[in-house]
Amino acid sequence: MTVLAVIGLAVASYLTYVHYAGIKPACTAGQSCIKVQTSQWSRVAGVPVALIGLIGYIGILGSLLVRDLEETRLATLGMTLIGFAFSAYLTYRELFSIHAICEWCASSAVIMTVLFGCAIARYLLGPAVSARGSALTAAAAQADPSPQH
Amino acid sequence: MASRTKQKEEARARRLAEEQARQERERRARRLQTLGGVVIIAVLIVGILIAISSSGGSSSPLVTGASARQTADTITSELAGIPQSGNTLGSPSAKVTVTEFGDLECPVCKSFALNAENSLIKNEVRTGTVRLVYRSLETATGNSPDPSVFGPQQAAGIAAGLQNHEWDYVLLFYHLQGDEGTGYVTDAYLNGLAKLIPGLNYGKWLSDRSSSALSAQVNADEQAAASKGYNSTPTILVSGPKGQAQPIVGDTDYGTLQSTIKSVQ
Repeated sequence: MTVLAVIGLAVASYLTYVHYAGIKPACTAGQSCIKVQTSQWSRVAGVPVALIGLIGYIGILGSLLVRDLEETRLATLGMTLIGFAFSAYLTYRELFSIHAICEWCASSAVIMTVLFGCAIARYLLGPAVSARGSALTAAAAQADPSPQH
Repeated sequence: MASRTKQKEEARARRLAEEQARQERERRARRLQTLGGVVIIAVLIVGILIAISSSGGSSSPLVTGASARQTADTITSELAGIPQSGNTLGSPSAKVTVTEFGDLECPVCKSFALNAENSLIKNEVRTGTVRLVYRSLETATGNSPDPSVFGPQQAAGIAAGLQNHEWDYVLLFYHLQGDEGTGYVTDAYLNGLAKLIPGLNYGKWLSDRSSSALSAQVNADEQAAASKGYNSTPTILVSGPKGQAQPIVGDTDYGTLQSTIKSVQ
């Protein structure tokens, strides 16, 4: 998951740089990338979506690098869920409003989808993690008080 | 004795296993409840982001507000009483035709429109001496972040022409141009211009502007320009009973335009 988050961070960083540098992103599909990047859906309240994505990936990466706790796993899950849902909306806009696909945006959407899947599995199926920072089994957490014989 | 010990150990192991299973069930239930809460919060956050994204994109500051409305009203007054038909402004029986090959994002075209062309409209066009024709030629838009917007933006003007308001649209676009190369021409911008034109049926315009026939018209204009070697905007052609004058390329003053018109009358 950490590797994926780093790759996503790199993609978002590139798109943010491209936006503020005023240059065209590298694109194998002709003008599709720039068409998406300059569309009305490339900003939220004037803030570039690329920058929002960059902040999101920093948050996700941070939650993966800190101590492994239930709370940090929940934080990772929450952030990837938001990223996944908003990426799905933007992909919908690309396909049905802009009629163009930005391969960088699509890459980020795929990364975020995989991160979300991993985060949900990690949270729901992972072992219990206490604030002491070690994985505990029920046998270690609950000693049987009954006499031995 | 050993048997009793063994039985007690087995019972203890069973109790531990049951306790472990119970704790696992409780943990799973707790996680699912927490997940439900996180999903609700995430949906709210994403909903807010989508609402802001959609609403922010539905309007362009260049074409909204009192200033834009005032500009539209001024243009409407200036064109009032002058016949329009498709891409033509002026009397169909006018003996002189002035054809402008232009790019709606071109700032030089804007300068021409606000100065010499404005005077021409107020005088020779209004009196029926000259009729103006607008045709498309891509120049400035080619340097914008998304050059593919050229077709749709020019087609938007032609769509207004289907309701005999093309010159309202063209002049309004020139007046309300944004900064070149900033990618300001979006659907919100084009739609906002149309909404400013009194008498334009917005729904029909919206439907017409995506017609392939209009794209074909833009392409035909470009090919016509290319066949004559025109590659700058504005390129102004003046033709009359005495033939066609040499094309005027770039911004020109009203005096030069008047002289050229006289030379073909």
